[in-house]
Amino acid sequence: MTSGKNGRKDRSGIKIGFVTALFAIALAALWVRTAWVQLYEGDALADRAARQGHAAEYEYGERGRIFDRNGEMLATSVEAKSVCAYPYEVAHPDHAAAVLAKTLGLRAASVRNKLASSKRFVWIKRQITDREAISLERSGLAGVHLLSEFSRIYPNGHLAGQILGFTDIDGKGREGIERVFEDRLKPGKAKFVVQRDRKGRRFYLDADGREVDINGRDVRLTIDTHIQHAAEQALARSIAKYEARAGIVLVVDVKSGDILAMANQPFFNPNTVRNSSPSIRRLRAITDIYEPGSTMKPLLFAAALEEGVIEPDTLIDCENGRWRVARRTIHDTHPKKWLPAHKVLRYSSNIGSAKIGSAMGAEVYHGYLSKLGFGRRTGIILPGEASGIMRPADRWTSVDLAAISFGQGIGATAVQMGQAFLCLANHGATKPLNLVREPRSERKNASIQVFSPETTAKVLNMMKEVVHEDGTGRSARIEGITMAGKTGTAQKASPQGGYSDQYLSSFVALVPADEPELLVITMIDEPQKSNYGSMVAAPVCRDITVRTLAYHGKLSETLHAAADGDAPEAIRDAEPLNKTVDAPRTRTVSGDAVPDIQGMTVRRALETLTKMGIVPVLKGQGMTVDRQEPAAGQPWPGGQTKEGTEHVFVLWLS
Amino acid sequence: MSKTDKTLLWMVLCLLGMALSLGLGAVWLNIERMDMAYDLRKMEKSLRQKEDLAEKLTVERNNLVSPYELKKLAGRLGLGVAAPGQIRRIAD
Repeated sequence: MTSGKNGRKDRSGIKIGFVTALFAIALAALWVRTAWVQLYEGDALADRAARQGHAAEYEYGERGRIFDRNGEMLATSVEAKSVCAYPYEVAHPDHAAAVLAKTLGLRAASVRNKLASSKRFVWIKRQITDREAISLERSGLAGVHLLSEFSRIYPNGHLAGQILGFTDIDGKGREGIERVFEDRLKPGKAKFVVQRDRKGRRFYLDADGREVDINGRDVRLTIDTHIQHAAEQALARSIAKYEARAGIVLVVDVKSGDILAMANQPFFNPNTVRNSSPSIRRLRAITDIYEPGSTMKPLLFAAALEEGVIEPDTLIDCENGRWRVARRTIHDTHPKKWLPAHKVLRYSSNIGSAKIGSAMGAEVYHGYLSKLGFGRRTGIILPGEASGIMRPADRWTSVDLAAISFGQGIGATAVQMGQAFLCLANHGATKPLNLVREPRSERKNASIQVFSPETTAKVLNMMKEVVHEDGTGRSARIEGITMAGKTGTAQKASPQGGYSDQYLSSFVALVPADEPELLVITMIDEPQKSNYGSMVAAPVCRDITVRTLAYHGKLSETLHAAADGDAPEAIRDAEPLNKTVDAPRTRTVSGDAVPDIQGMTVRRALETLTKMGIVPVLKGQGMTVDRQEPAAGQPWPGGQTKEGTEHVFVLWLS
Repeated sequence: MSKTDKTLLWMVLCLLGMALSLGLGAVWLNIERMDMAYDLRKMEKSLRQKEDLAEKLTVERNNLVSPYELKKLAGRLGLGVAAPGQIRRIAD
């Protein structure tokens, strides 16, 4: 310590030391506090901070889509807004109720009750339209919120409605494919941790967990929308025309066993489930059991041929249309006495069939029907499939055997019939029917050779006579295409016992007859204006087959192909083509000179020239022939009539 | 001050400068990151809206090319399914 001039002691050193000490203590305290916060309370505080600044967020995937065999979309999900409310946040319930009711088309009193509810959360309306959502957003009602959901859309309306089924409002599959593949189609849910700021806005700071695939997986069916449409249209027309109760059409690709169409009438539109009844939603092709009637006869004939009970030329006494078995009398629509077996099928004689069945025996025929899949489910994946009705052979009486021989007294679904005829078309080997392409079902390939290929060829030949000779299936004949077919007109059982006066008209078609590629089965339930399968069901099969073949480009090019076949001219005249455009007009084409084709439409000109084996070169644009080279009256271009040869024949269009 | 002390002083000053720069850089990066997160959020929302619109347009397209719609259109234009004898296959 030193003394100054005026004798005062200099204490600055003490002061500096004091201040330094204070700073040192403060700094030390800060370090201690830092260490305390970082080391002792660090974890707990970090945890609290994370809770405050992070939030869990859920992301919902999209339900898988359903496609047809060509990739056409049959079902998809689109985002839709749903309106909900937190009643405690709604300041003016009356006003809010009025706005909501007007915007969403609801009853104001109902909305008001919901908003006045003591619940914390209420739905006002789910899956509203985009227009309604925008309108509601603009109204800015407090306490009313829009949430995003996925709604299921079926772009094709009622097309294949019963097959697709539907989902409930929560997106869960309830019927059909939607239900069967619920596990595959249903979307997943991903939980992410996101950061949030002071205003509650959320944002991602990293990609953790964001790459999770939460969308449901797609399903691809074997259905072809165009063939399904053709089947539905033809079925609807027939049902309207004959005032029938219901109908089924099944179209199968023989080579693969794929179901190309499975139409049901009445139609069901899965977009409007609430407006439908369970009876409409039923997929009749798998749920409804019918006594198929005469369409089963080809199966009887196949079994009898296989067993050597008959040959196509075996004569059978058809008793002039009336035959008594036990206490029952069997009738034929076309009474005959002696008929060879192939004509028994052609004229669909019940008596002849009953005699063949009786000769074969119940046990044997039952064995064949069992192998063909009658009496048990086909294993098609859809729910609600019926197994049909086929009693054990030891319980068949002689009347039962006779009746079952012509398709009565046995119950089968349309898919069972499809499976049985698929076997016939597939050289006698069973083949499963497929409805789903992806994922492929893992069914065991337990193919059984029920009939020999020689037997099936004989049966197909007999069925061909049904259509192409004077058989019952003439109305299904298609010019230029061979078809093996069989009609069926089955009496329906009455709820009171016995048989009613209602019928099931059916037709089975295999095209082409010799090596079938397409199987079409039509069943029309309770037609009123006519009962016969030949009148009611066969034209439906014909229509669908024509459209399917046209779609696949397999229709015959000219009508001459039919003339080469076995179709009598008179019958073809009696059955005019169901044309929507002009039929090709027969023109007399001179063998020596080129005709005058100026002024003709291009199509007609092409028809005329292609008959002479000439493919003309078209110049210009238009639909009418303006000029031709060579001119009318000149000789045909000799030796140069090969297709594609340039400038052999030129048409200028206008 | 000796030469060694001077060198030491410069090193300390450099280190302090670097620490300051790194600190400022970290703050700047954090701000950028937050901005980017907000932008990402906006873009995600926009993308979702566009995807949703695309999906709805796909549905609309599928509806327009559905067989029922095509049949109606074909009917208006006088077109129909080809009947036997009305198909010609012309080689290229």
